[in-house]
Amino acid sequence: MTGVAGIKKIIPHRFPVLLVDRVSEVDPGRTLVAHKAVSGREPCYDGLADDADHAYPIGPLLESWAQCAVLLTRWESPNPDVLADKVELITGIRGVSLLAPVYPGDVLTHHVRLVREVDDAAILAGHSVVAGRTVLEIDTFTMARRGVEVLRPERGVVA
Amino acid sequence: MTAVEEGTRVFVDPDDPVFAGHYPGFPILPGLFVVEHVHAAVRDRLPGKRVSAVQRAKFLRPVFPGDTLSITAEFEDDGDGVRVSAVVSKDDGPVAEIKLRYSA
Repeated sequence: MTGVAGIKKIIPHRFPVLLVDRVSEVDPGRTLVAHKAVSGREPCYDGLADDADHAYPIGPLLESWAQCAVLLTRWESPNPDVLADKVELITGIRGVSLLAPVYPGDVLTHHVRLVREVDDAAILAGHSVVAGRTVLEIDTFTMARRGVEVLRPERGVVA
Repeated sequence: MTAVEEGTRVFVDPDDPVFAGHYPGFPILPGLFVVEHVHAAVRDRLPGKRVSAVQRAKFLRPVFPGDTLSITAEFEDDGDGVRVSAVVSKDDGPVAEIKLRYSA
């Protein structure tokens, strides 16, 4: 069992967009199972009208799963600081089914499977479950690693 | 039914809390938050429907704080749902192509 402190030793994501709370199973290079408790105190709910739909937005929902994908690929080569290493960037995603809305109070269990990894690119797939019900399926998620120096915009982001 | 909506513009606010944690010292918008911007730009045109699929998304270039995104979306009725094909661009070219599906 790996909690937030352990997760922070492996991936560079930090508050308020570290969207994984706990890793319960990992078979390095193959599969990972991790959990994320959705809270009504997350930034996406700030300023939301009282009578608005409080379903967890697709941005953080998919990002939470994607962070589990990064965790799996970085399990044995941790990358807690993008300035000291490379940064994982999503290059594509395909076949995402959003089967049921997720609400504050739900605990997402993300399942991630590494399909293929070549040099600085990886392909993953998986699904997410809330209370025994599959809420999300992802057929293909692709990501690449790039050095921050390659990405830095001309106008200069201060390191 | 096919309709095209031209150029909804979205300013990527450097004060957005997302940048404090993604990543410290190197702020960059998570690609999947670009999907969220497309959803936010089109959902009011699709009352009573929920986003049910991201059929495909390609991320061509990163988005940084201070960028302005322009979202152009095409809507196509497919019987029991609506397919939305969006291109997200910055001034100097496309950053993402995103296909969503909405259903009742």
